[in-house]
Amino acid sequence: MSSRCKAWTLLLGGGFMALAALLAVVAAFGSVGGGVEGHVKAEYRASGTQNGARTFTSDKRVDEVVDDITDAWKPADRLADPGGVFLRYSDVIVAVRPRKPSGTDITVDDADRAYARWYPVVGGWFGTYSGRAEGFRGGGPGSGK
Amino acid sequence: MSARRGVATLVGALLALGVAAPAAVAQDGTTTTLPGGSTIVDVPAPGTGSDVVGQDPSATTTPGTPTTGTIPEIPASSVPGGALIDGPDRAELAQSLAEATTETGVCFGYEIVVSGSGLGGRPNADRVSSGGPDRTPSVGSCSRGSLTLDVSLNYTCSSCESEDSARYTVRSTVPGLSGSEAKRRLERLTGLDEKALLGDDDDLALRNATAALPLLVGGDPATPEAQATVPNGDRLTDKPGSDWLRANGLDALFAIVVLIVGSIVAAFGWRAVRAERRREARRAPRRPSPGTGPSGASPSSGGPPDGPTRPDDATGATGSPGDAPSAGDATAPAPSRWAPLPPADPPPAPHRDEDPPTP
Repeated sequence: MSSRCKAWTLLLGGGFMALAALLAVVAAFGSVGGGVEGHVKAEYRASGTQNGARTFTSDKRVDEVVDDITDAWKPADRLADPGGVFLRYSDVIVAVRPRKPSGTDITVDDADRAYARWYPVVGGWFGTYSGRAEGFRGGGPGSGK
Repeated sequence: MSARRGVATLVGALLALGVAAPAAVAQDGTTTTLPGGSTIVDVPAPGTGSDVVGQDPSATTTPGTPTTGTIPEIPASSVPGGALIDGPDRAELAQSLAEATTETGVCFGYEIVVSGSGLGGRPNADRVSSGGPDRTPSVGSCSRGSLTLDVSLNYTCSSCESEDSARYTVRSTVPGLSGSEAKRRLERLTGLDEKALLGDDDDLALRNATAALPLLVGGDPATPEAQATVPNGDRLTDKPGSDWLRANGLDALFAIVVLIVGSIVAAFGWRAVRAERRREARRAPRRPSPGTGPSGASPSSGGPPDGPTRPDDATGATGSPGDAPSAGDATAPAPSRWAPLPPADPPPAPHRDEDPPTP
């Protein structure tokens, strides 16, 4: 390969790499605004509000919905319970619950309000709890045992 | 004798609550010795036959009257700790599984065996089911079958070459739900994997996976609280960091690194291209050009020589300052001999305005 050919290969190869990476960065930053709630809004049917919380429905199974949401937006913490799966994000808590007879209900709510709403389930896991569950987790993402 | 029978009745009642000591359990239940010397005490649930650890419950259980999974409230403090999960949490887990069994007709539970070193005094095996702590999910009491999470952990010594390992499967006797399918769905629900079962939060991973089993068969939807405030001043703790960074941080970091590397490579490429052009530009004047004979002026001597030695076609007959031929363009006319060769770009062409008019 001649030196001229090498030079052009470097120029074009490096330029292509930089351009592709730039597009990836722009695409990543483009998703800043939506967040997990934007993803849920885009993917599932809105079914109204309930005490301030935004509710959505899906015909998919709970595991499929949870997999879809957590693939798109990794939660800071996740609690599974026989009543549903609760995903904690920086500003909201997403509750994914089975719907009778089939399908899934999704509730997106402000984190503090959701903690009160789902307190019997998530109490002691995502925060403090006056009852027994506190000893298990100590509350909060990443705290562990 | 009657007093002894009374004591036995009392002990039996305690066993039904799942809080009896293993020594007492031996009278009414089945004790199984596991590798490593620990034992799992299996207590028959009320109204059912006894199960044997490690065997298909359907093969050994005497069908009793189908009952729900509801169990009496278990005093959490009296339940012993398991291999990973503390006693009170085992009691709470059993309670919530029992409620799910009432709703679904399916029994749920986990069985775990831990081998190797570093157990720290904990038992090397335990189980929890909707029948209570230390009980096997009983098919006889569950009209729609059972789902059991089987976990096997192996801890190696710190100086050993081999790594800790974890295996888990889901045993299913629920019609239409195979064990492999149940395992796949459970992983989607909880993110369960071997790493989670070997990490610092292994107890949470086991608890979450077991508590999610009812969701595989429909579950019992949690109902929201009517109250708008958290009681007793409880609150959320440890606000998570940016969702965007958690979701895209690694990808964005990788893209930025590629962007930087690509830019550096492109810059090197650009420099190489320019150097190549300069080399070609330097070589070009040495080529004998038709119509331009050698002159005494050295290319490195700078400005144009005096006198009418510059051919008109050196800059093109119709050329403008912007139309100067590129030094690297092989099809362009050769630059004039006296044109200075700047170190970088092609020589600036607009000499005509500066040169004195040729007589």
